[in-house]
Formats: sequence, C-alpha cells, structure tokens
Amino acid sequence: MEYLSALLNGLSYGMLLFLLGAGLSLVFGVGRFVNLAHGGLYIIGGYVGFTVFDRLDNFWPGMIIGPLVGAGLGLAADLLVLRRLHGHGREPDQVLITFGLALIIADATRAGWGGDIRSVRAPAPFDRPLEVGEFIYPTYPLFIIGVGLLVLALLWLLLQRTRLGAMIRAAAGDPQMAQVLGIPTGPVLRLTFALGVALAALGGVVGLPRLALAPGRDFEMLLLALVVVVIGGLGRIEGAFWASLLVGLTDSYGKLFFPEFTVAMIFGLLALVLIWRPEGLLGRRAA
Amino acid sequence: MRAALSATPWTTLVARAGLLLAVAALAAMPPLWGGYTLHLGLVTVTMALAAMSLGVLVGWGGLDSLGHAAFWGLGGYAAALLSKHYGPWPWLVLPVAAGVAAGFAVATGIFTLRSRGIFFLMLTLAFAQLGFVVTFQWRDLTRGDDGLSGIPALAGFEDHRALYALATIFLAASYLLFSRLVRSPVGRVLDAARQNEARARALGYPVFLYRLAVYALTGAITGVAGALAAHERGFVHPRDFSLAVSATMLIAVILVSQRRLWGPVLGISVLVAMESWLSARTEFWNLFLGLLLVAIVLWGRGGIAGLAAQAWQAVGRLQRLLPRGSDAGAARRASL
Repeated sequence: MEYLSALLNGLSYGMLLFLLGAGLSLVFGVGRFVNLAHGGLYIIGGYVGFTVFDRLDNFWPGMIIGPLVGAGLGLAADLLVLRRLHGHGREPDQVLITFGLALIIADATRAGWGGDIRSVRAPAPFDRPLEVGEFIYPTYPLFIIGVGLLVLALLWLLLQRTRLGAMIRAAAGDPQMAQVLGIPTGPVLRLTFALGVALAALGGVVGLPRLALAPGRDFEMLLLALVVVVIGGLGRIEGAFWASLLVGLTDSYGKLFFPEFTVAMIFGLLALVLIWRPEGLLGRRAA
Repeated sequence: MRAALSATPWTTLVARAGLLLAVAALAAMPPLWGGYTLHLGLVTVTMALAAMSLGVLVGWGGLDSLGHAAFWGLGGYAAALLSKHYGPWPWLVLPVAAGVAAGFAVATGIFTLRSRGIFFLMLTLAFAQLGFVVTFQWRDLTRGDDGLSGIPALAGFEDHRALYALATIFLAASYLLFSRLVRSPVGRVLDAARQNEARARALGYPVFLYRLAVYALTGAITGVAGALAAHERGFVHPRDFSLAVSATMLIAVILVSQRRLWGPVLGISVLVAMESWLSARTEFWNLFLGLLLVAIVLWGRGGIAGLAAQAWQAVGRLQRLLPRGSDAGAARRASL
C-alpha cells in the first residue's frame, strides 16, 4: 500500500515539476535563453493564487489569474529587457540579468506577502480522500497528475498540430533560416517565453495546496526545474516530461527507503545522467 | 623585459607606482581599523581570490561556471575538519584544501569540460548542488544544517590581522601567477580555443588537457580561499556551496570587466561594500543588487569598466568638438 502511495506521490510531484520544467525547456529550446527567474515566476503564481483564494474564498479563479499574471509579466520582461539578450554567446548576460530579476522577485514577494509560510487547503471536490477498500489516498495529487497530463497533451497539440507550433519549432531549429523564410522569430520567441512563464505560474497555483510557499521556495523550485530540464535534454518537452517523472519518483521512493539522502539522490541522478549523456536523456548535441 | 621597461614613458611608470601605492594603502586599512572592517576586509580578500580564479576561467577560458562555490565549500570543509580533528597547522590544512578542491576539479572537469556555454553552466551548477546536498545530509561528518562551528584559528594566525596579511599575500601571488599564466602558451591556447575551438584543435593543441589543468589550478586556489575564510569565521555551513555564493562570484567577474584580472577583485569589493552598507539600512538589499545587475546588463556593456570606457569616449568626443589651438588637438583633427 505504501508503495502505491509513494508511486502516486512521486507522479504528482513529478507532474508539478513538469509544469516548471516544460516552461523552462520551451524557453531554452526556442529562445536559447537561460531563465534563472523561472522559480520566481512559480512563487508569483503561487502568491497570486493564495491572494485570490484569500479574497474570494475560492481556489479555482486563481488557476486562470495566476498564469495570466505570469504571462503578462513574461511579456513585459521580454519586451522591456530580455529580447535584447536572445541567442548564443550571451549566457553570462542572461545569467546576470535573470538572476537579478530573481533577486528582485524574491525580495518583492517577501515585501508584499511577508516571510510567513502560506498555504491553502485542497479545494472541493478534491478535499476528500479516495477510499478503495483499505487504500486511502487524498484526491488532490490525482488532480495534479491530471493537470500535468492535460498540459502535456495540449503542448503536444500546439507544437505538432498548429501553425504557431510549426513556427516555434522552426525558430527553435534554425532561427536564422526561419527568419529568412519570413517567420517573425522575435514575436514567436516572445510568445513562447510568455507561455513558458505562464506554465511556471500555473505550477505555482496548482502546487499551492501541496507545497506551502515561503521565502526560498523560488530558488528551490528553480534548481529542481533546472535538474529536470538538464536530465531531459535542454529544449525537449518529452525529455522534460520523462525526467520530471524520474525525479518525482526518485524523490518519493527515496523518502520511503533513504529519507536522509533523498535530495542527494536527485542530484546524484543528475550527475550520473550527465556523465553518461552530457546532453541529457533525449537531448541533441547543440553546443 | 628591460627593453619594455625603458620603452615605457616615465609618466606611465609614475602613474603605475601611484596606483600601486593607493591599492597598498587601501589594502592596509582593514587591519589598521580592526573589528568589523577587518572582517569585511577578510571576506573581500578571500572572495576576491576565488572570483579572480573564476575570472581566468570566464575571461580567457570562456568557461562560464555557475558552480565555483563547490571549490570554496570543499576547501572550507576540508580545512575545518582537519583543523578540528588533527590540528590547525597551515602547512597541513591549506595544501590539503587545495588538493581536495583540485581533485574535485579534475574529477568533475573530465565530464563538465566536454561541454560549453549553457551546458557548462548547468553541469557546474549541478555538481556544486551535489556538494551542497551531500554536506547538508551527511550529518555524521558535517553536522548538516547546523554547520561546523568551533574551528580553531590557524596556528600562527590567531590574530586576524596576520590572517588578513596571509590572504592578501595569496591574492597578490595569485595575481602574479595568473597574469603570467594568461600570457603563457597555455593561456594563449586557452584564449584561442575560446574564440575558435575547432581551429585550436586543428592546430594540434591539447585543448582539453590545458582546460583541465587550468580548471584544477583555479579550483585549488579557490579551495585555499575557502579554507582561509572558514578559519576567519570559525564556522562552515552547507550554504558555502550554494547557488548564491557561485552567483556572487560570477557576478563579481562580469560586474567590472571579464578580461582584466583585477576586475573580479574590484567586483567583489563593490558587492561586499554594497551588502554591508545596504543590509544595515534595509531588509531588502537583494532588491537593490538585482536592480544593479539589470542595469549593468542593459547599459554597461562589459561591466562597470565598460560603462567607464563609454563615459571616457563620450568625454573624448566632447573634447574633439571643442576648438583647441594645441598641436595634439590639431593633429587629432587632421587625422579625422
């Protein structure tokens, strides 16, 4: 029974990481952009979700408002500053500026929402545990798994079955050639960035009933998102998905068997994967 | 060397001597002041040692590491454990700290140095995080989140003024060593590979080995810096491995100038001064650091030095516009 619980815990945690990692991977794959403020967008989403719940006493509007706020901030950031820094060879500048933004977000949210731990209870109808015979398990993690699968499906449809998706893939594959062929790479990148950031904010809202918010959570989530993206291969959505599940399950089964060394196992896993395949599990060599 | 010296105009020599004196006077302030200023001075000098070695990697190697804190933390923990369990002898502690950090650099460099750019950033960050997590969770050895406290002072350097002098000597020696290194064949090959790796390889240079050697050297020096800092504080914590420390070092490198060895030293000085000044006044000093970083990237191409160079050029343009009777001015106008 506890193995089954650990499996579901791992899957739901993995799906949460997928929301973060998919956004980060998308931004990297298309824009060749390192976004160290990604964890910041996660907690912004979370805090917005918390405030919405606080005011309206209803969790669900936050699921829309959080990502919208995230997308708006992403668009604004890209228009104002980040678009000047796209492309190869600008990594130090990207690191510097997004780390700066991450620091600004960290202190601004601390100023706005204080340093207390913020959490909400699971919203109805997912506030009741599931009982199947002797097996009792909360339903909210199952909801998270559902959201993760839905996002995966929508992303796949967007990237493989729509015109915008084809443009995004073209811009990711060869930005110069795409530009020559008349694809407006700048706006495409901006839209992708907003989408990736909105996914991080969505993760923040969805994760709120499971992972309480507190200062420092942003950098913790950033690191986990980076782990997922690097293990899966930079810029690969499917890679991010499998890596998220791997990290989620490592975490939950690690807690079961080696509670002391869970986090070390995650980074050990990362080191092993990188030693074996430096470009990530599904990554292509694109140095 | 002698020819180069005699070819240098005496005004430049005087300016250099003056600069050296000014730096020496500035460096002598913390021990004279003592107390908190001495502490800040030691933080600055030890972090500058680490940042300068990272600066060689970034500026000449093109290796933007976001995990340099791994060497800092390893050096600190190795020194702390040795001093606590065996004895705080500098001749034992510092070489071991350097050796452990260099060993880690070689062991991880074999894997990380195969990649460049973003991949290298992520890989180095991953290994530093591994260090963070292992020290955090290996409680029997490291006491985890409590940190290791009660590290005895280095024998012979109980007085922090002496420790400061030692750290300053290390910093000056590293400066000389690195300025030799970047002019040496190894340094030039490193720089060439940064600009065009395929060509450097095609010319037959063992690029990977040179990178690994320099990586190990910078790791060792950062390990010593971490060991000195650990003895100054008498305390080490897994935080020494954290992203914040790595990022601070990388910021110090990019902040002023990536291609000058003194750049990271000035960068760290600015950061330490800013932190101590702002954190005494506001709880949210990171906000200001963040704003500074954004401003540097947007307007200061090439860091503060680039900003200064732009301002200097602007002054130059202004001067050219002014009517002047001097020969120099006329010559310059003629050449335009």
